[in-house]
Amino acid sequence: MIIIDILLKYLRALKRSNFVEIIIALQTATLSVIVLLQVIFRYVLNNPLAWTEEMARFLLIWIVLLGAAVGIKRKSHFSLDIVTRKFSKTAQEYLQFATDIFLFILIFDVMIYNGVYLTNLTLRQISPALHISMSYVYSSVLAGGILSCCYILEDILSFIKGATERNRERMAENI
Amino acid sequence: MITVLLFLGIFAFFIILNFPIIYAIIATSWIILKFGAIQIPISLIGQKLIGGINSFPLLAVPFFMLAANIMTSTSILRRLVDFVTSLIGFVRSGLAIVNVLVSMICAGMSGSATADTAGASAMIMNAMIEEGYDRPFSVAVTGASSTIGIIIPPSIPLIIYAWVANTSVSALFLAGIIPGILIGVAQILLCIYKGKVRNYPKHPRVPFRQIIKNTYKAIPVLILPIIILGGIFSGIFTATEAAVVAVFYALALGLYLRELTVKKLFDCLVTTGVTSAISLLLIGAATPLSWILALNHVPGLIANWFLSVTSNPTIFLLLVVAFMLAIGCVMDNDPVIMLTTPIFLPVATKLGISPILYGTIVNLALAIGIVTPPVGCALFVACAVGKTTISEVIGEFVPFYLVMTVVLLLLVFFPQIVLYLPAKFMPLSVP
Repeated sequence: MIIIDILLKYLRALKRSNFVEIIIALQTATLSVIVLLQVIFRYVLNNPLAWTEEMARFLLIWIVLLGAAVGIKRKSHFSLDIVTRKFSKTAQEYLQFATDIFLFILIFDVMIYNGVYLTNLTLRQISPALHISMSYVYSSVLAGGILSCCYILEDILSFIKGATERNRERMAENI
Repeated sequence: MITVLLFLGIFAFFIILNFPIIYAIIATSWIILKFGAIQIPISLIGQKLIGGINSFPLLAVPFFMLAANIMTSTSILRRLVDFVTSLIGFVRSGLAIVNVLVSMICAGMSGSATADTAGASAMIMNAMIEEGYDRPFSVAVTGASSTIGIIIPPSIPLIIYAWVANTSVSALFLAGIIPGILIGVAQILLCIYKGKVRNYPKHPRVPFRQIIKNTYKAIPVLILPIIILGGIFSGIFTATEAAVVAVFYALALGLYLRELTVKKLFDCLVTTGVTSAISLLLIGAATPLSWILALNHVPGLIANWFLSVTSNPTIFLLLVVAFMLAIGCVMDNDPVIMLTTPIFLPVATKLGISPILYGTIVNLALAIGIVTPPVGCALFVACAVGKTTISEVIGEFVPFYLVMTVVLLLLVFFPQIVLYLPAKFMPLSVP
């Protein structure tokens, strides 16, 4: 129980802080400037830059994976609740709990476990224009996965904490 | 057939239990890889996911969103509304017509429908209610006209379709113009008819000097669609480059009007990042699944089934329209495009249907889907902004569904309407 409390403290701090949002904003701004540079250099100065296209694509990949994690935090991924909203409130909460656990396992395996593998695999692979290691690109899967898992873990632990506290209250009443 | 049902079953199971759609797609691939007969490492999902997003044309998605977000956070659209109102507002049900026309012009600047519903249209909707239009009709005009946002180019679903179908974004954009205008005209006619029957008010006539003044003030806004569409169609810009020019044009306008603060810009950047991430992760998630489906010969199975039912292109398109209208009721348009295109498009091309025609028709059918219950993002936004419930307004929406479906059927029976502009300006893109 103490471990859960400590974990929850840090996870909630992570959820409350908006440093990921700041990174996304900076990345989106940089992305716009890079593509604008590409337009200017190609059409106005007639001297196309080699690296802008690739860098823009790589930034987009990072924005998508970090943004998807923020989407999990803000619960803004689209889902279909026409069936489940007819369930009772407790049933919905337990379903949400089960969904969160499955999502955690899924993201852990696909994005963290295999993200580490992909990052290692692409360590020596060099991008054609920027000449950087492709690990810089593939590690976005790992980063997005870790963030998503932290956000989901916070939901899971909050639910467990809430459920145990409710149980304890009920026991106290019975006594 | 068993594999097809298995895929569908797993996917449907997750979707019904309120699982986020994108992760349901990833979960389907994951389960198939983990427990399937073919031995493929799970890391393939991450690899294909990155490969799916790693595309320059897709950058147009965040840029068009950012341009629209910057514009709605300033009063730029107010000028557009004033301009159109002073031109046409004095006829019967004038503001309803203004609502549709403004949606059409906004559609030429932004690529999504909900940005339009929440922005300029909401302004006009409130004015309509104040002037004595009944609330459900005002909400219905606002919601229905916002669908034009994804039919008239630029359009984010069409960018996504172009990516999956491997066709030219510009040709698809050209193809969208006439259908978009037709939908707009059909809705305006409906507004005029309703205005006659229910005696809707006319907006007071604006003095001539005011019209000149409003026109002058609206010029900076009206330039934007010209830059975007002109740039793309003349072949000067790619869609992505036109989108980034739109971003900086909107930014310059916002700074010039002194309405854009650092805080507002930061919010625009974050919202854009997150919303475009959600749309684009979908592409990333669907890429490994389509690959696995292809490996299991699912598209081929479905194609054979379709070809055994009909070999008539018009009947096939009608089937597609019926399917898209039905599935559009419960699913958002981007996931449907991502998941069905790799399966249906090969059948379409086998029957001699141009990918441009197929894409335009699917996009239009799914555009109707975003204002149909139970799930429709533009419908939700319109109801939220209009402070009503879906059940109150749905009756007013039905005539709009009908006129839009009529236009859709017109396109199926007379494909020349869709293909005229692409064939004229980009003859190579239309086979």
